[in-house]
Amino acid sequence: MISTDIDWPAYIQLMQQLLNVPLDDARRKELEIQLTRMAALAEPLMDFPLPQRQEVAGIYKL
Amino acid sequence: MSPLSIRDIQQGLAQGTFSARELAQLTLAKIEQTNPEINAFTEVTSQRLLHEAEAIDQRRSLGEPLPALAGVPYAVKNLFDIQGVTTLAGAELFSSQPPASSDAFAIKQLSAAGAMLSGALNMDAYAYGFTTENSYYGATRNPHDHSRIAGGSSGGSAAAVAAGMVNFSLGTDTNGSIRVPASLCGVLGLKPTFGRLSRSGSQPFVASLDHIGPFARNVDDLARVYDALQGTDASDHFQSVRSVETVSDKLERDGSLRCAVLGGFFDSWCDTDAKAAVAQVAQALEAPESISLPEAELARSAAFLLSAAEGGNHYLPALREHAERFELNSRERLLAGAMTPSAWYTQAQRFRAWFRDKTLPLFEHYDLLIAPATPCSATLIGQQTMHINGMDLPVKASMGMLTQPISFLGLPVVTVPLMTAKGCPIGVQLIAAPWREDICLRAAHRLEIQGMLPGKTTR
Repeated sequence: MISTDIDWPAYIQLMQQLLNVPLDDARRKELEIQLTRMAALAEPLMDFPLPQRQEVAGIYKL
Repeated sequence: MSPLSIRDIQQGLAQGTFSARELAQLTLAKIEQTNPEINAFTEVTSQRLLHEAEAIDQRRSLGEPLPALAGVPYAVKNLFDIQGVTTLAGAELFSSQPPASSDAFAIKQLSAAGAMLSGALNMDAYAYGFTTENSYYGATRNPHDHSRIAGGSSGGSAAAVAAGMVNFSLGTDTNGSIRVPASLCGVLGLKPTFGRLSRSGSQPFVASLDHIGPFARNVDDLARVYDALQGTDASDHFQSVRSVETVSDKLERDGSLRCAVLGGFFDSWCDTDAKAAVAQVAQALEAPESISLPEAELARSAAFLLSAAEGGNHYLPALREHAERFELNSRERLLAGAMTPSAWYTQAQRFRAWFRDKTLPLFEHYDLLIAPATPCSATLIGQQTMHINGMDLPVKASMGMLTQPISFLGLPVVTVPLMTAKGCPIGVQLIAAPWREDICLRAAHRLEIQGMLPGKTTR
């Protein structure tokens, strides 16, 4: 995955519908900047080979 | 700066040199004189401060023993609930909410210890930022140079202490929000082990990462406040089951500390000022070795994505309904976080457990790890980028890049303040194994008695 090759306007359009968030063009443009930055951080993290049985670190207690 | 330490206040009250009421009045006068320039306070709780002072003086007049923080003025980041005050979390969005019906757990602890609350402090909206450039409540200015940022998100908390308006303050740290402003304002900050202190009664941001902790001007004060904050709170499900382990009585404990400097990611992403500060601390604490955390850069990325997703989801309903009321500095960053694929978030949570398991064995060989707290000293208010390691980085998102991997682990850290050659404050992180806040504070105390820190030495 290369974050700059993603069709961010299409992704944002879908997420706008899925999450029901009204947006204008200026906000969509800023969202694209933010998502591109996050995708660049996510790329090596997603490529990192975690052990198959690695669990999440989340805390849930009863 | 106020020359009084907590120990000085204890002695002064005991000997009748001054009353708690006089301390409260001095605090109000100092805030009135200094705050208009610094913009650290969003609310001054004058009546409460005077009322709490009266209660202390009444106990003195009856000859009763005084609690540990009797008569000590403090203030809190405005995301802590203060009874009778609206909890803002830096956001205009919350300004029309009713006042809090009771104090946060941490404030109750401090009240029980006799401390006197003087008000609520400015912060980045929602605690999402590292600069305290708040569009609605104004930027908090760095007391050392009013043209520069105080750091964030607990910028008001660090600035109020640095400017001598209060003896200590409370902040929160999700990714560096105590350690970054402590570094830039030149004060001490303690981010305890994740789960050590109750967060009840504070506005959450990223439940998986949020910590609370104190700021102070000297190590003894910091340790005494931390001791008062400890205590079990059954209502906080993120709090770990630990008994109170006091640290203020252990600062002068003898014994060598096995120290090492964190290199790699931490050495690459900082300027020569930060490197020089780390070198000074390393020399003073006899840390000849440099070691690396496995995949520290990925840890920073994972912390960033985890924060974006949890924080974004937290504010999604309000982003739908009241987008126009949001802080523009972080609105689209929050919404982008809510839009990220769940695979990124889950991978970050799984990586966190992996990173913990790979890092904790280092403490079989070392007691303390040393790293810069910020990539550089305070940038100018309004400055968008900083040039680090050959790259222009966004200040608001990146000033905490060296603190993020450590809070992601949840390790205890004390940030100690040093000065650059140009006279600007810059902090160094002293990092210990889980639950070993005492080691962080002992190391900080050693630096203080060697005269390396600007705060008052209390020995």
